[in-house]
Amino acid sequence: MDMSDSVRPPLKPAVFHILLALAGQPRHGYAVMQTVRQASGGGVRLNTASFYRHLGRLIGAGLVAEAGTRPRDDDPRRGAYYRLTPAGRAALVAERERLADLLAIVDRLRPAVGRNRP
Amino acid sequence: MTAERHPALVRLLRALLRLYPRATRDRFGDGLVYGELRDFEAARHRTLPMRLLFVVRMATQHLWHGLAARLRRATPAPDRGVTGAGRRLRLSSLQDWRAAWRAARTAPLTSVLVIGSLALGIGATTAIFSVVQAVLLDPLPYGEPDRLVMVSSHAPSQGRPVGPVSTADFLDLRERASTFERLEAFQANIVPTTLTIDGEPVPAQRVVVTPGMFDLLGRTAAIGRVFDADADRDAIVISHGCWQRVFGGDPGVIGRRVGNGQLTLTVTGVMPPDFAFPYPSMLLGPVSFTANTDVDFWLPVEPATGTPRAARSLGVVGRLAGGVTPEQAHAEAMAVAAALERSHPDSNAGVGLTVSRLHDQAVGGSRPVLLLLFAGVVAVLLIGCANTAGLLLARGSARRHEMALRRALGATRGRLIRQVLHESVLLALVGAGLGAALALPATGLLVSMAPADVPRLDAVDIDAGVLTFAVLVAVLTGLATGLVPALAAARGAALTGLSSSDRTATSGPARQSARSVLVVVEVALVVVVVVATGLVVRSFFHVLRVDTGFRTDRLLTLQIAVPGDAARSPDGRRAFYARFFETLTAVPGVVRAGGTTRLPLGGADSTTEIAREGSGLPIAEWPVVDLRRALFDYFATMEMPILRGRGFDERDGPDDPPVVVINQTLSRLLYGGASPVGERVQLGPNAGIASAAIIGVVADIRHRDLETAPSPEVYIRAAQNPPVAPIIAIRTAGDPGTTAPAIRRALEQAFPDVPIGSLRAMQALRADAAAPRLFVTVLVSVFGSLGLTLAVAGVYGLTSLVAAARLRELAIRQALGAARPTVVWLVVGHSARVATLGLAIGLGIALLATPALGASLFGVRPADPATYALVAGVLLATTLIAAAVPAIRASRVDPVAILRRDG
Repeated sequence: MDMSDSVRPPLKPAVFHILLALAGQPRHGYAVMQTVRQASGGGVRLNTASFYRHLGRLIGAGLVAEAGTRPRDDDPRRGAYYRLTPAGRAALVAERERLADLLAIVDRLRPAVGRNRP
Repeated sequence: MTAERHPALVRLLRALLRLYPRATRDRFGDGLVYGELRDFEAARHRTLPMRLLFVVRMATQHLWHGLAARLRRATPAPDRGVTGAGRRLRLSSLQDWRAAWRAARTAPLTSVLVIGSLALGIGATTAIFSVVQAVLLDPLPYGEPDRLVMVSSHAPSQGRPVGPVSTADFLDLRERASTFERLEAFQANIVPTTLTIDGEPVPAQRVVVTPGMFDLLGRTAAIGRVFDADADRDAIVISHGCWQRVFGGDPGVIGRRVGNGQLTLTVTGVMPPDFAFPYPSMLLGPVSFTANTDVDFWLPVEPATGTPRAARSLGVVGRLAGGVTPEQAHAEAMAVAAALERSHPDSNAGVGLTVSRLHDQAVGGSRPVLLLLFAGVVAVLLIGCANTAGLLLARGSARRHEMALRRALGATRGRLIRQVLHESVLLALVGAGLGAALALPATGLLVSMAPADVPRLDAVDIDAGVLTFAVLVAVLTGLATGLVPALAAARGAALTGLSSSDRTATSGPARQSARSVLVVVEVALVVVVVVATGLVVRSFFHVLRVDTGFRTDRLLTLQIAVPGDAARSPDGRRAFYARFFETLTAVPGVVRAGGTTRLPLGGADSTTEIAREGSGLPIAEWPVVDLRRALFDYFATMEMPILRGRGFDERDGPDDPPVVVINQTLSRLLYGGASPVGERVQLGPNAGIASAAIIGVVADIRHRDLETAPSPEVYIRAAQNPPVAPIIAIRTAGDPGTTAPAIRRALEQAFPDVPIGSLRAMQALRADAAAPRLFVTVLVSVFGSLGLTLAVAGVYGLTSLVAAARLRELAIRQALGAARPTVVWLVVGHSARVATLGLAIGLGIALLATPALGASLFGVRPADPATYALVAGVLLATTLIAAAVPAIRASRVDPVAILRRDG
């Protein structure tokens, strides 16, 4: 049941950013959090507790999985590494398309909205 | 690396992890701990309150998410996922709140008691927090205040760990130091003076600053402009208060020409109302003798080169260069001071420079007092929480049937816990609402009662921050008080089931012991609060009984300034004083009059170095003592006894050899037990007299305030160096209040060009000197009585519960012939044991905790046996009475009726 819900957009901003952070390479939890905070420019406020709640759900929905491997001589206290599953990648692509469509609609209706003016 | 550095935080995190279901803990535990530690590390450079806030917020988040994860497992719902709208975790629904409301209405007495005690606790906590926030937590009203520091001199060998800086040292520091982006200075005292506006003199208070001070502080004027670094020789900037009071808020004030002494100045700017500089505790120098520390105007003066290094009177404010910590700046200032010690040993031996955060300097001594009050009010809140938990527990026992029924109908344990938590949070929120309503007038009362030396009280306000605090406290209180009853309810429902009835079931040993633990906690907390109250109250009475060393009744004080022409020469001042005291002593009802330069019980001091003549020591090693001048008949007016030799008289005229009178403490310091009369001393530059003969020893008085032990003092005769702005002391025959108007009339008639300030009775000044302590004492007493009341209610409730639970047993015992006292003791005994245990624990904690009261105590040791005995006695007596009432009531019930009831 969670499966069908979670692949259906719209994704929450925090969820979207977590998936995005994992798109390039597997990362450990704190690295994901830091990537999200930096990539969103502080726009997504993520505390450790809520991050792991999201992560738990994403794993439950099959979008994210533990990576199994980790860099050699890595600090074990960082916890597990996580990677994006094919379903997770699909969800990310779907969300990207949804956002692009949305943008196209907005631009078509009101060409001036959101454009930088000199 | 991080884990080793914060073992306590790791332990806390591991404990918080236990809130999560085991599967979550196993899977994410390491990552969670690692993430929080790294975030904490990132917050490391922040201030202590911010780091505490981080930990509190972190704990709250895990509490929330952990319990949420458990509930999610307990109550599976079909529509949960990671996506957005409508599928959020249901922690709460309207249905829950409705049920909570119904439950609250079915037990109105409990609800009222709970709401009442939480409203008092939350209201008091919120009121104190509003003051703590404004005074301690809010940043100073300057640009980038975190980078502002104060530089002071540091001369521990002269008994002055923090003092003003000399102009020459300031200029050297400015030139050599690289850790400061900028350094500016001000004369570290407020000078009462007059502004002449259209020929009318108006009293006004002045602070001299270097021209760049406002730029350094990062503030601009509300109207006009602040000083140009170089251009303004004759400009002043006035405060918002001065603009309103003196200029009536005239918008055309910029460019107005005003007189100040011999100067003619132009108003260039008006500062905004929230601007304040300096705060009273930044006034390290010889502070003005007025208790009023409002600044009316700032006068720019370039620091002069070539002034003596031994004359220290500047406060120095610095803005740290980017990335520099106060510690680094301190290290550099110390190095500069060490170099100055080597190059100028005469003036700088043993004198260092120290750098502290401007915020710490501004907050000054109010930090320990406010933290004490905050600790007290939080203790009261905790007592209220324990009490509330007890009451809810008692209500829970009456609802066992309801819970069992719900369980039988399919409610999960999680659902029941959620239900009870809703009830307690609802009560806490209502309590918080009432509390916030109470906090509003309470804060006003607090501010009006607070002594004048607490800075930034005008900024105290119930704002969003304070309200957030109140709501946060309410929710935490609700959860905390609800947790024990909620778990008890869930467990009880599972254990007893529907078949049980009052006949066979007592209210459950688990429930009783939970309640007993709560009462132990409650009594222990109350003991700590009441012991602290007792110590603070005793200190207050000690302060009231302090012997000032002079007679404070029938004594008036008055501050005057010698008018312009007369002030210019010593002879002019002498002539003025002769006429002034002649007029004054001729007023009917005036017995004697005299004057001095620093008001007794009125604040800090002017100082000078002093040494026995021929000691051969460099001036930097001379002791620094308080310097005072005695005008006219000062010692006799104050009724300060002359212990040896004589006081000043006509033999000590301006052309006679210079003489001094010293106080007992200085006599002991310089000469031990020997008589100093006839000995000669050398004085520092501030005294204006290089050397003098000692003619007498005068008794010590409390000068700075009631609590500070007398310091060494040297008096010089005003005739030999007459002051410009003295304090006049007037001894009256009768009530000083009735003589005051006659004095004022006579003086205004004889000296129309002298602004006559307020005539203040010394008794009122004495009361003012005790005011800071009165403030703390009243508040702590309120906390103590609140706590005691709550504890009595708690013990009463516990005994009622025990009595109700054992009613049937008691009835059987009575039916079998047990005497009533035996039965009463059966019930009281339990409560007495619980209360005694709480008492013992509380006394132990109090012994450990009361040394933290520190300077809040006066004349009482933290382990004062009398206070402890009294508190123990009072608590034991009140708890026994609170326990006896329900016990006796239970023993009066007809045993037959009880036994027949359940047949």
